[in-house]
Amino acid sequence: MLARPEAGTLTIYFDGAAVKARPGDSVAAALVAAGIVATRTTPVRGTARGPFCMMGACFDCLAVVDGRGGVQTCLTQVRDGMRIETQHGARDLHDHD
Amino acid sequence: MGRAAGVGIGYRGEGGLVFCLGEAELTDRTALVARLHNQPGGAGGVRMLDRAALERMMPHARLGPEVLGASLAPEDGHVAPLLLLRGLHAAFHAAGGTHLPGAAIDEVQAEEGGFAIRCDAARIDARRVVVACGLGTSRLAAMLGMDVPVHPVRGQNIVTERLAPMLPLPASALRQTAEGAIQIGVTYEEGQDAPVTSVRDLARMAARATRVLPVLKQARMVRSWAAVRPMTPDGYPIYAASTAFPGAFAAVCHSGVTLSAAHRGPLAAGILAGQLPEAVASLGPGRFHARTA
Repeated sequence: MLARPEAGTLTIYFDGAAVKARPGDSVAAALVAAGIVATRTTPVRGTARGPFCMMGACFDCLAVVDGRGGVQTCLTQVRDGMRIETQHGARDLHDHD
Repeated sequence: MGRAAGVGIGYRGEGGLVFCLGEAELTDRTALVARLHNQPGGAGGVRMLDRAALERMMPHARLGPEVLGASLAPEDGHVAPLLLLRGLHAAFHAAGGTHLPGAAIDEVQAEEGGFAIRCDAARIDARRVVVACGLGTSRLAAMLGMDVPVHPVRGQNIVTERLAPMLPLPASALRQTAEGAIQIGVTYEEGQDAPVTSVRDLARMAARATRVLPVLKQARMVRSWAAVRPMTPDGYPIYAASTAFPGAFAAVCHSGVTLSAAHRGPLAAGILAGQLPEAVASLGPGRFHARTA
């Protein structure tokens, strides 16, 4: 579907699975390029959602990034070793995240 | 009761809280609840809860250290206003009503056997008229011989992203919808008729909310808004029946959401029968003229 000019040199993890990414990629771009199009489920009906606007407006690409929920993955740059998890339903706030 | 015209309205009727931050607020609130108990008709079971009781009631909320207690009004509740409005519209259409959104009323006139409403150059004939148009009520009610004083009071509101459940009961200026959004409000700005927010007020509201629930510091605000309440001189509803023009009524209150069940039931039944119900006899506009009459 999407052709990439070169393989990424960084590794991020989505729900535990390794995903290659390039420096400067947004998390959303890296995930979509790897064929991952759903990053969360909706709070009410549990429907899958994923990156849509890619510019910070739609809030559909939220995920849990390094333990912090409600992160807009399209506005977050990848970092080697970053751990991204599907956000299931409404975000759970923690005292020290 | 949880549905209007078959539409869920997010109704929860387990009561409502007013949090007390610090000793002074707790003392004031405790005194207010004691005075309520001395009123005729009692206090509807309103009582104070200490912090330990609050924590048992809200196991998923970590209260800030300043929260010393809260008052609990067991008869309080919550509905989702947007869902309620959708339900009311559905019921209105099902009953054969025609809604003309945004239509501007120029004039209402009593005529032989009824009323003529002039609306965007059209004319609507009616046997009965109920003026129930918020801040516009005074102008139209006056055309039908009713003096209904209403003035604007602005309120501001913050809505967060949807969050996991933490607030099982609605609280004063802090509640969580069934879908998870936290609503933080609200201001009472007398005489302000422009529906605009101010950063100063939003910041103050947010600061207080985070003193109640410190974890909200991490929550994302997704929108804020302001609206203008139609307020009567004493804050209670006004229900009026025109003596000069029988068949004309006026109703104005804040809030029509809170009182929607009463309006839909006894009030509507009374108006259809041509007479306001006895239950609202003390809520006529005459109460504001008692001393000058």
